[in-house]
Amino acid sequence: MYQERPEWEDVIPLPQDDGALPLAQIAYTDEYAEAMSYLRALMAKDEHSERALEITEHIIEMNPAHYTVWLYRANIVFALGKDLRKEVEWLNEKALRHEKNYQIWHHRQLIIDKLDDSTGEADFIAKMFQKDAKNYHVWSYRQWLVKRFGLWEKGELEYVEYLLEQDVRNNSAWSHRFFLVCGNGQELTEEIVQRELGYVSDNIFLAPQNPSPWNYIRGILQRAKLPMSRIEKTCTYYAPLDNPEKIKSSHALDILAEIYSTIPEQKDLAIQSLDLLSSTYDPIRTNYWNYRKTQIQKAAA
Amino acid sequence: MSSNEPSRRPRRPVSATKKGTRARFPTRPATMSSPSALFEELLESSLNSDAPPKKISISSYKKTSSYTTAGAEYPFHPGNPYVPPPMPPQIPDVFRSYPVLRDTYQTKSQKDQDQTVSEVLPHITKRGNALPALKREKHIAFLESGLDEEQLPDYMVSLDASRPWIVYWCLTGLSLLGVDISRYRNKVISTFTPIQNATGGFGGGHGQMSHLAGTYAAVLSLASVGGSALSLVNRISMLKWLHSIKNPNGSFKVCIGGETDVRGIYCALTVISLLRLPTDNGLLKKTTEYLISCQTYEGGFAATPGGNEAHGGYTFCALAALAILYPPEKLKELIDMDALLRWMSARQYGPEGGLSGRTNKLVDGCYSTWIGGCWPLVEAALGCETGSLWNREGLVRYIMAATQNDKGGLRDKPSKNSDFYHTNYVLLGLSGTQHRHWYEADEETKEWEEGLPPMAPFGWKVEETTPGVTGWETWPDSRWGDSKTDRVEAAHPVFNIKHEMVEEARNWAESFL
Repeated sequence: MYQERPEWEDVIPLPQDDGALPLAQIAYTDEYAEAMSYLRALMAKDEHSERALEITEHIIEMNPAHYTVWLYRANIVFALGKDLRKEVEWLNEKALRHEKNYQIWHHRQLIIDKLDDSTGEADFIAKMFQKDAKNYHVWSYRQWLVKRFGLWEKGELEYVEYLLEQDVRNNSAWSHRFFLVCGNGQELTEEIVQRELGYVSDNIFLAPQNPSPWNYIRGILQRAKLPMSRIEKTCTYYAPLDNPEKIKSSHALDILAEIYSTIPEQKDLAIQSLDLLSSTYDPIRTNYWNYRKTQIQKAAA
Repeated sequence: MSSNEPSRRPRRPVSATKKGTRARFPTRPATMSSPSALFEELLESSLNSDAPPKKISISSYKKTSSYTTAGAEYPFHPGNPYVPPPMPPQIPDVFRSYPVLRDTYQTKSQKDQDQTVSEVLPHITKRGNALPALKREKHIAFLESGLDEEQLPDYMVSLDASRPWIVYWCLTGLSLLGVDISRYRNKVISTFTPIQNATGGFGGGHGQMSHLAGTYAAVLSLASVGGSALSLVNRISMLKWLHSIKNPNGSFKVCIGGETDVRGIYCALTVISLLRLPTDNGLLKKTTEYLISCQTYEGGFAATPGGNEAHGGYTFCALAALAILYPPEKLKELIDMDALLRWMSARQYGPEGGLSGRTNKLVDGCYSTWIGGCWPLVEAALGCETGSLWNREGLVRYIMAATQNDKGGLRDKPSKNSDFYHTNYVLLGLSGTQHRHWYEADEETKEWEEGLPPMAPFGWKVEETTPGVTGWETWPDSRWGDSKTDRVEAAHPVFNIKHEMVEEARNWAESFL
């Protein structure tokens, strides 16, 4: 308890004011209520000290979603010139325990930015991805790292491929690949498009009904301003309209419908694809497939 | 199709038909004779010796009264013919079995997905095909516990920086369930008074920095209880604070020194619009551009333009933010609507019927709002007059059968516990399935102009979906006879509070302008 400790003697704790008729009041433990009262007192003076650092750690341990305490802590850490490497180590343990937390990753970003060195970050992120390879906060942080430290060509693409070997349906990894290939303002040369087409078709072969690579290649072609018909052959392989029994991918059908809808004499094939989707291969989206049909009919009229 | 074009179907504006909760339940017409009235008639005729006793047979009784149609109220009256209970409609195949196309190659994502289907299927196919009713009283009790309990248990300390959220979730959920929440007005004002900072905005609790999330929840809670509770907000300091967290690239930090993403913009725009704050000095400069740049190659929106993945929560924030700045028909000029539509549509899975937040992720009850809530905005943008573009029945099935906790409250999926967050966002999603929104511009609700408060979100109108109207079916209405007990109130498609409270906030703002 802070009130029993001599080094806190000079601080007059500020109790919490919840108003006369509070809603959703929380039954704090005495420990939390006391720590918060001392924290408010220190924050009122904007005190940057070792004891302030200690109390932020204490409160974050009890409630890691307390954004005010995190921002106060960042200010103290910088003001006291604390060892930022130690701060990162301390953060690692917090991040592994609280996976869905905005504050931890924002704090990490502030610290690493100040440190101006991303050594070791990839290893720690790998640990986070072992727990959840689709953690949105971690991926956002990784994208920030790539931009901040210019890591575009430093093994990122290989890492994405490693993760997709683990789980080809990891759409976060596919999104990261798109970011690496297109996010730096690079021109999508024919060579890159060829490479991506090859990579995508290998992965579609593993699981034709996996939406991620289909979405990905559609995005690449759109970004490169190439027509969808570039992948018509792949689509007809997985969705042979002349042999509907052999259809393996609803996503291939979807793209075929899009390709054929732009060619007036192949309008019927587009309608056939959408009918197959609606009746058999993706019936929960019937209203949407029908909408696409009416769009084609409208354009023809 | 423009929103000004007259509709071919009669529309019932919400204000005209939905006064309070009582009107929604069937009541006996006043002209209908009651059993005691009939008894008196019989008695009178037997006492009148001049006239022969009036024979009132069971059959004539049936003819002169409407008891056969009111049988539900008096099920044991001998005059009632036996009416077998209606057979529940067959569950369509799409909600009964695994999809036709399934890859044999197994990875973690596929295993998680299969596990979810096997978890959900028994819930959505049980009880002789009938869906459970909405456990209204239990959900009300659950949400009231968040507000009325003397104190929430100490393990909820993790929500200590989110207390405005608890208030907003519980109030909104209760109001959708038909509870009159104006009785909380004084408590709401009292709760948010010490949380408002002198430097503008609201924090997560007393002594906490102002944060856009807390401010959003506080402003919506104050608007929800009505009666000028919004006057608690210091609009001048609020405006100053908003300027202090505005980034030059058009976005907003969630708090001074905090992170930036589209949540911040949506929360800020909600506050600006409901409080009618002026937007001069570049308050919303480049905001539209920032929002548009968050659309990803998949069609959905990400947290930031920095390469994130398309995500349901951020998509709602981005789309609703655009719908605060612009009338819906303008949206298709701003964003790639075809791509958005494809991605949103792909968020609904069979057989679960529920909605997922990202490609290859699992269904979760809360996306009933984050994805489900995008549909009215997109449908209005595309001028869909003839029918819904998604499967409302599927979502209703998922919500009713898989997200209701028997002990009260709603949840992500059957293996998860209910909480206030999911309860509110599942109920908002249920409300979305039971209503049709459309947009009617008036002279004020035009596109945002530099300097002025955004007025576009005040042009939304709503009606209950009606049984038998093709294209907008919701399971309890059109496929299952009379299920009025499952009805929840209409929510505003942009602000996610009860629809009529947005009108009240608009009137409140008129009073000081």
